[in-house]
Amino acid sequence: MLGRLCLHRFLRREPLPLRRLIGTNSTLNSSTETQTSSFEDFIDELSTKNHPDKAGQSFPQLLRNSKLMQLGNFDGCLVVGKIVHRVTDDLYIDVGLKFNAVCKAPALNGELYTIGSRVLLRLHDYELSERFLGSKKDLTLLEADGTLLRLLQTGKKPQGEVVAKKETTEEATTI
Amino acid sequence: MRRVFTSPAFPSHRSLFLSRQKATTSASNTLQQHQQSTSSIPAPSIHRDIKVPSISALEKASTQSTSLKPYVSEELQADDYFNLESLVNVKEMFDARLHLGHKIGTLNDNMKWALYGERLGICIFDLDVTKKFIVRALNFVAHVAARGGIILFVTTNRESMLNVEKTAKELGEYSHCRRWQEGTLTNSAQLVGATIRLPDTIIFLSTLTSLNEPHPAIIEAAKLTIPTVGVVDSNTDPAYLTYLIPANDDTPQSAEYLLRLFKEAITRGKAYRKKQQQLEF
Repeated sequence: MLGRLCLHRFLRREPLPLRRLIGTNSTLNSSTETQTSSFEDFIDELSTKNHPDKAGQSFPQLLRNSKLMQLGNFDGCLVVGKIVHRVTDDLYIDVGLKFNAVCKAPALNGELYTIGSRVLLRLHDYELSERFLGSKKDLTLLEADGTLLRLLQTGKKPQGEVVAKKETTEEATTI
Repeated sequence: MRRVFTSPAFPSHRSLFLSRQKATTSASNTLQQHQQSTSSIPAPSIHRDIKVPSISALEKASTQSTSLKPYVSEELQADDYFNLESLVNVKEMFDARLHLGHKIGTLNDNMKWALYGERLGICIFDLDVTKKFIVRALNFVAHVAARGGIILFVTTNRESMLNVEKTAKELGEYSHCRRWQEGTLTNSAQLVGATIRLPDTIIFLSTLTSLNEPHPAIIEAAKLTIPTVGVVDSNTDPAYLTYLIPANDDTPQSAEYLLRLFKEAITRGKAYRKKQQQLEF
């Protein structure tokens, strides 16, 4: 069916779209301008050795379209994180990066910040690593740096208390 | 160092070791002797004709070990015998955050080959390279399991520690996620009180200790010629590990994904072994 369609288009002397160009593998009777641009695209497609996986996108495409690239410079970005661990006052917040951000639960309504809660965070650094004097490599703290802004949705209902209202923020991004 | 297995499931990892040193007459004699002694032990390929290489073939193999490939069992001829490449998916690896590395300041020079690049100071692993290495490591682990080998999981990452222990228990294999005592492998006889069977493979879900130093088990395994599979991050030294997996080791999601893959590979290997044993009885 595709072959008949291609033949029909060929007879009508229309340039075939790029996808069909790859499929038919035949020379076209089209204008040189469109032919060179589509030919260049064709060569570009062939030369990218990163062919897409069964899922669809290749790794460079996945990376390019990821939130990590969209964020750009981390300092000052608003992100939505999820609390994964709590040790008395310290909250370990997963923001979708390599490391969790560690923040202190605020004094007011600190008990609402339970495991599974979603919080708004201002990210400062992806990883707290610094080169100290005399060492060849950086020393890493294995955690991200961020400032806790507010609670968006509490994890579980504390017994008999009012649950914090869910707020939506447009500028916040979930990685 | 290449290890060629020419005969059915060897009882100990040290007994049927064909090294790259010159193969002498005595080596081939011990090989034949050993084959006679192991014929009573139920093994996967006892039905097949076992080709024994001649002395001259063994001597030639000391310089080119791949010449012994025709003498090796059928399941070792294929690159991906257990079809583990179908399990590994770049999109899933990406979602499991396997591509995220440490900052550029912590980069180990011997890990540059695995990186796609650096993004605002963050090292990004090339998942196509990672996929290739993962498949290789998974196949090795599956073959070890198919031959009844002991697999030891090692990690010091506190977040993924419990998951590793759970997975090892489910598989019927072993794990060591607590403080490593120096000499656990090299001085095992003294620590345990008797000579014990050591693991045939050690899988490191993270190669650094909590002090960001290389795990002592890596060197001990190398000293005892135990092949190791290690997940190497951008700040780790890949030295002394047999099979590398250049990927993120700090995030629990990535550890969970890799454990899932290892679990499937080992399960397939064990299923193959069970099938072969059933064919004999």
